[in-house]
Amino acid sequence: MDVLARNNVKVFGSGSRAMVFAHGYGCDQTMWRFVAPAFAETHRIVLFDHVGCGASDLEAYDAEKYGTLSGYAEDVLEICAALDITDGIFVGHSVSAMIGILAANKDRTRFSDLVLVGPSPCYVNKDGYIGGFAQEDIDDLLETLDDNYLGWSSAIAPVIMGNADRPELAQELTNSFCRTDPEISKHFAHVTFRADNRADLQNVTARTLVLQCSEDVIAPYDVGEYVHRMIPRSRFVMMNATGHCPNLSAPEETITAIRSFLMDQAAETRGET
Amino acid sequence: MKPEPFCDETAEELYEHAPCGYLTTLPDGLVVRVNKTFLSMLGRKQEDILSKCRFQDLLSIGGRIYSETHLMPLLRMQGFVREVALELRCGTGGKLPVLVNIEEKRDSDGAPICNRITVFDATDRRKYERELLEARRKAEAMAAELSQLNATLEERIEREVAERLQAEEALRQSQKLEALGQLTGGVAHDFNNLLQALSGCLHMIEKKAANEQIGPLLQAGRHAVERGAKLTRQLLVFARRQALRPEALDVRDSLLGMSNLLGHAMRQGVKFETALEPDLWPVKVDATQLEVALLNLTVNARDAMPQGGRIVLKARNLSFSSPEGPEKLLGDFVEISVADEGTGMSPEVLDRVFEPFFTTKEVGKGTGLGLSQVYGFARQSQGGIRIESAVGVGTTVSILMPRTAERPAAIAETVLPDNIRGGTVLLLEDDPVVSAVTVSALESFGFVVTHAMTAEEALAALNSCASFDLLLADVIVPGSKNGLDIAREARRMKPNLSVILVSGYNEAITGMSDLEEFTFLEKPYRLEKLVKAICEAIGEKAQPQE
Ligand SMILES: Nc1ncnc2c1ncn2[C@@H]1O[C@H](COP(=O)(O)OP(=O)(O)OP(=O)(O)O)[C@@H](O)[C@H]1O
Ligand SMILES: [Mg+2]
Repeated sequence: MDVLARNNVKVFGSGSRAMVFAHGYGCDQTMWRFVAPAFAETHRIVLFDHVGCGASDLEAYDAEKYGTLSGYAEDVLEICAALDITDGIFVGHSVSAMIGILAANKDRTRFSDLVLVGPSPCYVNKDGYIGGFAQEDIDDLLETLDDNYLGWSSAIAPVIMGNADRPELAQELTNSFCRTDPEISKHFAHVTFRADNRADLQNVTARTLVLQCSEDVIAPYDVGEYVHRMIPRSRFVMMNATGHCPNLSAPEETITAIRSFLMDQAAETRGET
Repeated sequence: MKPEPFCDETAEELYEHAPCGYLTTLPDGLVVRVNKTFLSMLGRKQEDILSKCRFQDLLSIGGRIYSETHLMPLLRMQGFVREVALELRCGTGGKLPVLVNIEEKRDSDGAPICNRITVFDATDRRKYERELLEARRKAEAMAAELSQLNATLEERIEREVAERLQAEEALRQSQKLEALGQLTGGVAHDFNNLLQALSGCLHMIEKKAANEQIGPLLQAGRHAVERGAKLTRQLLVFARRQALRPEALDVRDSLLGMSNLLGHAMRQGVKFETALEPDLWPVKVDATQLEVALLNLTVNARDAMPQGGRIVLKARNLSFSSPEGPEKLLGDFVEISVADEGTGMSPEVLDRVFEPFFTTKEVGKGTGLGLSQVYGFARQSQGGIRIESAVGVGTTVSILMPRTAERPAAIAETVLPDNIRGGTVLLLEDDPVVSAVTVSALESFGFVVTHAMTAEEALAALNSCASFDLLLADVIVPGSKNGLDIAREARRMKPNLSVILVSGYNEAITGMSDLEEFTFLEKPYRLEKLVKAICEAIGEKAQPQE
C-alpha cells in the first residue's frame, strides 16, 4: 500500500528538520495554505489529508480502524516512516493536536516538538471536567451535517435519490473545498467528539506549544489551559485571533508564535550542547 | 409624466425590507449591520444584536460547531460560501431553518474587511429535504434487505432442494414398503392356502394310518404347520390384509389390560415409566393388534438396552390442521410413544426397519417382524408411525391413531353421581402402568388422587393430615406390610373409609381371611368396572350420613 498516495501527502521546502502539518475535523490540508509556506525555507514541509478527507484515498477508509484517534495516529507514524522523519515538528490543528500526541507518545523518535493549535483532549463534559459540549450538542451537529450535504447540491431531489453510486458528485458542488463523504464526515465527528485523551497528556515528552485562540467555542480557554497544565514542560500562548482557525483567520500571528517557539527550542538545544 | 410608484423606493428602504435577511459582520463575525427583515424573521431587537453578538452566536450549537469547523475555513479560503443550511435561534427560543450565503469583502491585499451575509427562510424546504432524506434511508434499508435476500438465495435454494429430496426419499420409502407389502401379502396368502392343504393332509394321514409309530411325526408336522400359519398371519398384518376388528376404545383400558404382559417383557435393570395426558380421546382400532404393537415396541426398547435403562411410555392427544407426514394425517389423533435410552439406530438400519424379516438381532433372537406389524397396524387403522433415533442416545417410536367420535361402550354407560365427583382417593399400587392409567382415569373422572408405591408411603399418607374418601390398594405391594394390612390399619384410623382391594394373584390371597369385609376387584380390571366399584363403595358410605 502506498501510504503517500493514501494520505495525499505533499512534501516541499528544504531544511534538515521536517515539519508535519495535520488538519482538523471538517477540513483538509488546504487549511495550512497561509501558514506552511512561511516555513518552507527552513524546513521540509509535509502536508497530508487524513483518510476520508480531502483528496485521500476513500477506498482506504475503514470504519473500524478509524473508529478511534489511534487509527489516525498510526497513519501519521506510517507517513513518518515512509519519509524517514525523526526529531520532527508536528503541527496539529483541533482534533489533530490529539492525534499528534498519540503518535508522538507511541514512537518518541519521530517528533521532538509539538505545536497544538486549539487542542482539546475531550470535547464532552464529564465527571467534573468541562469540555464545553453535551451529547445533545453532538447530535445537533450530526443533524446540521445531514442538512448541509443536501443544501450543497444544486439540484436537490434527483441528487439525493441518486447519488449513492456517484461519489464524484462532491466535486461538482459549489462549496468544493474541504469536501468529504457525508457518512465519513459523520463518523469522524463521532470519533472526534467522543474521544477522551486526557490521560495521554501527562505522558508527553516532546516540547509542546499550546496555541489558544480567544473566544473559541470548540476549544475554550479553560480547555487549552488544562492541556498546558497536564503536559509537562509545555508553553502556553494566548492569541488575539478569535474563533477556532487562527491558521486561516490570523496566519501572521500564528506563524510568529510558532516561529518564536521553534527559535527558543533551537537556542535551548544549542545551549545544552 | 408621473413617475412610477416604485421609483421613490430608496436604497435604504430596499436594504431594510429586502425579501431576505441581510447582515454585515467583521471578519471575526461581530454583527455591525443588520436589516429589518432579518430582525423580524428572528423576532429580535436591533439593539440586542448590533455590535453585541457575532453571527455564530445566533446559530444552534450544532450549527456553531459546523460553522467553526467547516464554514469559516471555507469562507476564508474561497471567499464565499453558498446555500449553507443552518438553524438560527429566534428571540422566542424557537429555531428557524435558514439557507445562508456569505461573501467575504477583501482589501487590495486580499485581507478580509467584512462579511456580507444573506439569510433565507428555508422552513418548508428543510422539511421537504428531511422527508427526502427519510425516504432515502428507507430506500437504502430496502436495498440492503434485497441484497441480503439475494445473498442468501443460494442457501435457501439448497435448503429447499434438500427438503424436496427428503420428501422424495420418504415417498420412495413408503412406495417400497407398499410394494413389499403387496408381494408379502400375495405370497403369504398362497402360502397359507398351502398350509391349509398340508394340515388337511396330515389330518387324513392320521385317520387312515394304523401305524402307531407315525404319531410323533404327525405331531411334529402339525407343529410346523402351526408355526407356519402364525408366521403368515404376521406377514398378513404387515401386508395390511388381516381382518381387523376395530372398536372404539380407551387407550388406558388397553394399557391396563396388558400391564401384566408389559411387566413380563421387562428385565432386571430396565425401568419402566408412564406419562399419560389426562382426558385422552377414544380411538378406533383393533384392540388385540394395539396390544401386540405396544408389546413389540416395548420389547425392541428393552433389547436396545442390554445394560439397562429407562423406557418411557407416553400418550397424548394431537391435532393436525394441515396434512402431516408421509401419511398426510389430518385432524385429531392419539399418539402413543415408546422411548428408550438404548443403542439407537444408524441411518442405514433406520431405512429398513419396517421391512418384514429385517433384523439385526442374532439368529433365534429376532424375526424382524415386530416393526412391520406396528407399521401395518398403524397404516391399516388410518393412522401413522414416527421414528426418531440417534446412535448412542436412544429411540422413540410413536403410533398415531385416529380419534373416534364414538364413545367406548363401557365408559359411555358410566355416569358419576354428583356426590361422588371430586372425592379423594389414596392409591396404593406399585405397577407403573396400572398406577399411571388409574391415576389418569380417576383424575379425568374428577377424583383427587394421591399415589403410594409402597406400604410405607401409604401409611405416611394416611398419617398425614390429608383425609381420604377411598383407599384403593393392591394386595401384593413392596414393603413390610401388604395391601390388606394397610386396609385394616386405615379402617382403624377412620372407620368410615371406603376400601377397594385389587389383586391379580388369586393364589396369594386365598388363605387370607376376612377379605369379605372389603370390596374386591380382580386384576386386570377395566376402568369402567373400577369406576363402578368406586361409586358403589363411596356411595354406600355416603348414604347413612345423609
Ligand atoms: N428401540 C430400538 N432401538 C434400536 N434398534 C431398534 C429398535 N427397534 C428396532 N430396532 C432395530 O430394528 C430392527 C427391526 O426391528 P423389529 O422389531 O422389526 O424386528 P426384531 O426386533 O429384530 O425382531 P422381532 O421384533 O420380530 O422379534 C431390529 O433388529 C433393530 O435393529
Ligand atoms: Mg422387535
